[in-house]
Amino acid sequence: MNWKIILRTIGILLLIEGGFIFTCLPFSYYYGGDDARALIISGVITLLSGFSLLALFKSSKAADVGKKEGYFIVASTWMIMSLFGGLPYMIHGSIPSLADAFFEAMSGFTTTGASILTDVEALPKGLLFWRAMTHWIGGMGIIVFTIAILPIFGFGGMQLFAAESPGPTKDKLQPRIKETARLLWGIYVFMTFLETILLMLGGMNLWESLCLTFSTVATGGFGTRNTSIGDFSPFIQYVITIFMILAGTHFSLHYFMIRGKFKLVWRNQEFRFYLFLILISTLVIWTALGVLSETGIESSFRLALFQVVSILTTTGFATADYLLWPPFTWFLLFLLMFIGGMAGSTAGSVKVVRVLLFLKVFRQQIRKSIHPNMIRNIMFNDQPVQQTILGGALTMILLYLITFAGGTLALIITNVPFLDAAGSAAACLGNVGPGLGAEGPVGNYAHLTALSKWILSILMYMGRLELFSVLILFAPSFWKK
Amino acid sequence: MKISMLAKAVGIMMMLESIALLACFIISLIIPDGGMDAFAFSSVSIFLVGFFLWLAYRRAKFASTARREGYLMAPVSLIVVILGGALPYLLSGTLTHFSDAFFESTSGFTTTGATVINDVECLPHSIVFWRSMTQWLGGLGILFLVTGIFPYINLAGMQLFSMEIPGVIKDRVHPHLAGVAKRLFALYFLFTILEVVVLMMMKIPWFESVCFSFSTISTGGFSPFNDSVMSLAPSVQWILIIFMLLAGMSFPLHYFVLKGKFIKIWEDEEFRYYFSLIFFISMVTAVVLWYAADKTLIVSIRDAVFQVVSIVSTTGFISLDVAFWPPFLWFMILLLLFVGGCSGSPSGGIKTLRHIILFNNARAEFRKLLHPNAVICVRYNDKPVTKEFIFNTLVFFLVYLMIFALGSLALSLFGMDFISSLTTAASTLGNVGPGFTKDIQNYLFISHPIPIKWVMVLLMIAGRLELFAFFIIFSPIFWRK
Repeated sequence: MNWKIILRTIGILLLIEGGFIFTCLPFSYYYGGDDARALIISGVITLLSGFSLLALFKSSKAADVGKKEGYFIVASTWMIMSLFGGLPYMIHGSIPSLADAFFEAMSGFTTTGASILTDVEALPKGLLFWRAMTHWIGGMGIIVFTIAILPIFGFGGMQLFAAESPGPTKDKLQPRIKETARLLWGIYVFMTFLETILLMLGGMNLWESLCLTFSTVATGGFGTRNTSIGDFSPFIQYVITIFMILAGTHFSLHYFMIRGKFKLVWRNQEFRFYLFLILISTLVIWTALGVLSETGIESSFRLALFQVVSILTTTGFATADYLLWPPFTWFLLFLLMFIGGMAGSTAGSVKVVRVLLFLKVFRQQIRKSIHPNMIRNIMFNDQPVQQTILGGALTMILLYLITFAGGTLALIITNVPFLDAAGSAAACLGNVGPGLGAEGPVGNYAHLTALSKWILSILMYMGRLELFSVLILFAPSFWKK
Repeated sequence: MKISMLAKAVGIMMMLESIALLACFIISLIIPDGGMDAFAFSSVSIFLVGFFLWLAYRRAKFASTARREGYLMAPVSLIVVILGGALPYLLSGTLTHFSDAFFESTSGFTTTGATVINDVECLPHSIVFWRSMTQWLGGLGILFLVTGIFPYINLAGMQLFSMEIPGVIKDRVHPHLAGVAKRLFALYFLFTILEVVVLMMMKIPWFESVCFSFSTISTGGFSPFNDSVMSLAPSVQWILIIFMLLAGMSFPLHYFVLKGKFIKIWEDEEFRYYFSLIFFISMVTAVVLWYAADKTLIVSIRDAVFQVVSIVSTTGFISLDVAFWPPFLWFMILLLLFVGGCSGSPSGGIKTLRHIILFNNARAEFRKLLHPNAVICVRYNDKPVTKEFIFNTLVFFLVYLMIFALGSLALSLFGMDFISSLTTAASTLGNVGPGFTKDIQNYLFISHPIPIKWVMVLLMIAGRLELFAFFIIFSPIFWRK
């Protein structure tokens, strides 16, 4: 293991994070909040830590980043970023305890959106901007991680996309990541820009539209108000819905879209299944709401669509308290938490493609039973899928469910009631945000014990890194020469 | 599609069922309870229908090439037998709704043990006897299915069972099938008689002894008492524990024991896992119970062992109210619903064997990480397991969980609350029986709306037929020429 390069990379990441902390300052000054001091101090601490790491390990060259170092850098990035990302909250004093600040920062960087704040609006604007910013930075990291790094690691069947991602295809980690990252970040920044403008056209001020945009394109879910998105006009809610759908789409498809290859986008099976899931769940919930409430056809459609998209893309915004709806509707939403958005997007959870592959395997098994001699490959986007990829994808789903059960058990042991435990384990592992019970869309995670919060932070972390990248660190072979 | 073969098999099944109904008629002669007419009528009518079916199609030959007919055999005969079994309930006026009678009959023949009868003790003896008898017959049928039929048809995830049966080679079915089935049936009879004798020695009246024996050996769970087994003496509960354990074990393994090969039993990996799991979970449960409730250690151990064995063997007897256990234990019970007994037993659920295959596979994968270049193959009982088996097992596991999730969604759609829908779906799909929640203390499902009962019926049948044997008949390509 080349520790020098790892520490050096972490140093660079800390420099970037420190730089981002300073971008919150203009808003702090503009709104005259009392958070400028906290932001400056934590920014300086982060920058200094980064500089000292760089200064200590400056001789190492970037070229010798191997797979092992790659694993370790990825796994430690979210940890270190969250540790430093919690500093502004702690120094300002709005979130004094470490467990809480770490939870909030982890929830930010993993684009979960679970919060321990009971009153969001009480926080100064600069800190709220930082809160949304953690989502945005996290989203940037994830795009590169899932599209450029995961296929190379070869976990959980994501090799499926190894050939598909834009940019040059080479075996070396370094140049490929750089090229791909540049392309995808371009798209990401462009989406951010577009949504901000649209939200401002809807009458929102710059600060709030930036915050909400950051949360949307990263499929995060931190809001600026206690009611999340519920207070905003229908126009704004639709804009956010559309951008949530876009953010939950594989970023390569955006690339194709920009290049005008619409056919390629439409023929993508994962994309179609993703839209199908949104459509069918919306229809079901819309029917349930339309029949049972007097809210009106358009507004119940908007409620249903928004909530389905928000949960499926693992964003976690809310326009209503879905726990007040008929129980089976939030049961459906709970199940959607286990599907998530498309692979290669900023969304978390199992991902649509794995669920799709599983269903294809199920169908093939039934076919095989009837015609045992018929040998037919499972096709995805008109190409045969290797058995190892299928095995990887199914193993990932199983591992995900086991982790969910384990997390729920751990939470129950720490005295969380069953409904809350299952809901928050699913919401945090899937990087969704709001769960069931007291941690639902109008609730928060503030009342939990520190131990429960640490468990949930770990679940967010594991879910974000697709389980394997965390578990591999516990393999003895990883630490052998 | 050759209907003749199917019709002949169904005819034979119906004639067999009418003999069983005749037995209940005799019971109602011995204990005059007013059930006479119902049994006389249903026995004769079912016999006549069966006889004419057989007569019409007696020339049909069971050809091994008729794959589709083979697949249809199990679900069709199960449903016909269930329909016939519902007759006595309706005719005697025990249950007035067809849905309820069908539910009770399904629960019996699938050896589940969920009931819609609130007051068992006031029923005619012959009806109570028939109730337990349906489970016993169901157990017998499933034993025939898993050891005699499933290994030879090419159902995905089923082939594993063929490894378990002594002296069976895939291509040579007929000479061995009869012999193996005969031996296993003999064992089944032997255990039943043994339990009756032991229970009668414990001063349980002959009628109750037979009823208990029927539902224990078949891992069913119907009880002739309203409070399941709560009122039974501790020594009797221990006897039931032993027989539940035996019924959840692989019957081919019992055969070895009878032949004096005791060492075989401990050499069997599935038995070791089954036994260790029960032992370990029971001890944890006992300690927690002892610590949490005001009971002596002996009582806590009995309560814990009884409940754990009852659930893992998928019997579903209840010796105390699980809903009031500490939440942590309660959640563990929920997880145990997914374990199931050994393969080659009348128990339901996922089965210990599948857990072992997946566990051994995980261990092999881990070792592969340790020695990337080593050739490591997954073993079960010291025999290598093919990749295909492992993959099929993985698929089965996930399909099982998917059906569980969709089943509980359907239950909640028709108005069941979140927690009850989870436990009820797990319990019926695993053919265990009780609901394990506060509102369904003693597995009373009578008050639920009719759609819920039908969802539960579907889950019971799907679980009993190991999912694929059930879902295959719903696939379009099954019906295509």
